[in-house]
Amino acid sequence: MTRDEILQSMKDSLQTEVYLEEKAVRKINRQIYRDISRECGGFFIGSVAQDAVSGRPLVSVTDCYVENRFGTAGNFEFTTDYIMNAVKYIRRNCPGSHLIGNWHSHGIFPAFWSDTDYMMMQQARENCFYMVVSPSHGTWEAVYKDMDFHFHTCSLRMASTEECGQMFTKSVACRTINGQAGGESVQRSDFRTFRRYSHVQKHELDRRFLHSRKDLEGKKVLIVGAGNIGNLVVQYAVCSGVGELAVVDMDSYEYWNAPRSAMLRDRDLGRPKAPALAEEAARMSPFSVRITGINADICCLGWGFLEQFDLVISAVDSAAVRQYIDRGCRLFHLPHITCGTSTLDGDFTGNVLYFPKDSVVDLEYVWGRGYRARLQERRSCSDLPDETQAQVMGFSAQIAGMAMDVALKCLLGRIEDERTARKWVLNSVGCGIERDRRALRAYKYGRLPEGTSSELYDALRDCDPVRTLTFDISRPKGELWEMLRSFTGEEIPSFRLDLEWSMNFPVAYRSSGAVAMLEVPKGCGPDPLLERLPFDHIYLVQGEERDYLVRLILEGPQEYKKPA
Amino acid sequence: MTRDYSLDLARIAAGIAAQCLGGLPFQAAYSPDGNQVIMTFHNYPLYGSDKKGDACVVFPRSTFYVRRGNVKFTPLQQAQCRFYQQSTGQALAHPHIFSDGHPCWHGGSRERVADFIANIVETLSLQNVTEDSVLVGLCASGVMGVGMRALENARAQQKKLMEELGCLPLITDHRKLERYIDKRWCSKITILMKAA
Repeated sequence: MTRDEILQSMKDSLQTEVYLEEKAVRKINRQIYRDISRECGGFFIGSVAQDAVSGRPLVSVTDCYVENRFGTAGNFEFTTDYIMNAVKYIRRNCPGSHLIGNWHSHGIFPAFWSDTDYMMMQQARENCFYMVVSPSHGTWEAVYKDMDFHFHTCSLRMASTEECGQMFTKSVACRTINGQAGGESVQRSDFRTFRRYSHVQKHELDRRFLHSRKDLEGKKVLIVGAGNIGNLVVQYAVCSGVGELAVVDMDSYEYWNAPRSAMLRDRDLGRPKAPALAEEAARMSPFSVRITGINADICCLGWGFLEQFDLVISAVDSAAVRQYIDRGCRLFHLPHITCGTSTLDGDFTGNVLYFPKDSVVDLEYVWGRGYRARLQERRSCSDLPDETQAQVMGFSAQIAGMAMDVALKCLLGRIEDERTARKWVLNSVGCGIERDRRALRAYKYGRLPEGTSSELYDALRDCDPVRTLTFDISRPKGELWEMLRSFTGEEIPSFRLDLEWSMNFPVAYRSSGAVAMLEVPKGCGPDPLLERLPFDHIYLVQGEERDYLVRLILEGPQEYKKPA
Repeated sequence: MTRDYSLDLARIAAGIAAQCLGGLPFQAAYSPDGNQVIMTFHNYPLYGSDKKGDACVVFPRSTFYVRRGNVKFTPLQQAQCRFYQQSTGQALAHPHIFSDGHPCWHGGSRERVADFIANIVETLSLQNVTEDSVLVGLCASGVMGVGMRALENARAQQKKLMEELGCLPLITDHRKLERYIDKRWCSKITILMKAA
């Protein structure tokens, strides 16, 4: 068969499912990295079967036979004695298994099938599974050939044995929903961990953790940001026994995130961060817990989304998003903790800000006037100077630990003052081993000074309590005008929804047709812009005489799915 | 029901712009979703043909409004103001019409009404196309070509517009144009609000 005929055969044939045991992969890895400049090879041990219904071939690789043999930079030969040694190994160590194929490395070249490889594949009239791997490029190719010389593409999976020890004591159920929010696609994955312990184990666990677990069982915490601090906070929350967690992040987990993502694994590469983090946390949780990972921009979910939580922790790099979350928390009277790291004079500094549910100040006040100019600021750990990168994880763990400490005190009701906001600034240890007095500073914000203006508190003082309106977006916008008219009693040509005040960044800033105000005029038809607004959000509505705070819940047809 | 001043103010702005452009017939209306104002200038000489058609300027409705008896103007970003010809969606023939932060927008945003109306006049008459704006600003929508070609085509169209429309000579001087617009705007809104 020529190369083209083989490739055509692969296109027409059924895909083969291949399950590789970690043990076999470990052996291959050990051998190929001994000398990446030269080719080497080995044999697959396992069994081959066929799915009776679909006819799809199934390959199970349980072990691998490898000798410390190397070829040249461009060639490796499977000699007769190598094959005989493999057969003897199988007879001695793997009864019931067979020699089912071979693998070889491509040294400094990428993984591809050479003409020599194609010739080798056609030599034996047997079911064979072949692989070529490249240690220098980290790539691999796999093909399965059946007795009739039909070549099949392969789908490889790791048959992991790491959790067998807990096979019947723990289960993780998952449910994923895809939908839309604020005009953006959203993926929501719910993980439920069920842990079962023996009576003796349960007794021991209860002796240590029953008190906190009972108090934290019904608590629901939102963690925004699945970066460095987000990973750590999720880990600490799960181990503390918080009953329900939700993680929101809009990014995917890439290889450059690996050094700063304590919870994520290699298998999560390329996955959205939030669902991946939720899954890893659910898997490692020592307690029964429910964790939801939402791959979305928190600004698309709307402030109404925050209402269901007992505490919100924001560990995001964007100043705008922190501000957005804080304003939402103030409107719903939710405690909010925000934390982050930065550098100061070449060394680390970080802060944790805690706003209790009835805080008398908001983030705008703590950041100082002119915060709007800083909305574009990003303080990502990856943006810190290169020479400090090694310290990022260690220092962030201190900040995450402080944040979790405050969070637990808040959830367990151990902070009595529900009006005073607090800030802790932590500086990295200097050249000496001990911290000096200035290393940790604490601030209190017990009242808003006279004459201080705040957009939020001005609106809350001047407006009536927030009113809720429910509107079907497929209906003409004029009907929303009617609702606003009957609620405000003002008969004006148009009401204006101030998107900027409502910090609706996706609609207000990120689109080319940027709008800061959404008009709600009398007698107007349906408006597609409404689809880009969050499902549940609070807006400052401008009337003629005064402003109004309106919670707008949007509904729509079936395809207008609500994942959150 | 209180009077809808947004459209009145947009009409005044369009009237001043039309006057500067030699008395073009114009109209102002809301977009179907009610979020935008569409100013339409008729008999506008189209680029690359002898025909005349409509030129449209689309911007947010909340740019002009009256609240508690005060006329309000909301400064807008360049991306919020769009120019079309013949129909909405078809970009006006101009070398850098949709380039954000371009020198033709004088600092990236409009602070005063006069700035905004002056920009409409300068864009429709192509006065804001200069050697710097095309070559240094490196902006080109491609509608009139790219680089020097865009500049040559823009100059030819600019000359044609000045001749066929009979634009006021002061539109070539940005400061004079702004002063002129400012005075007209102030007197017209005073009349409008007094009448109210």
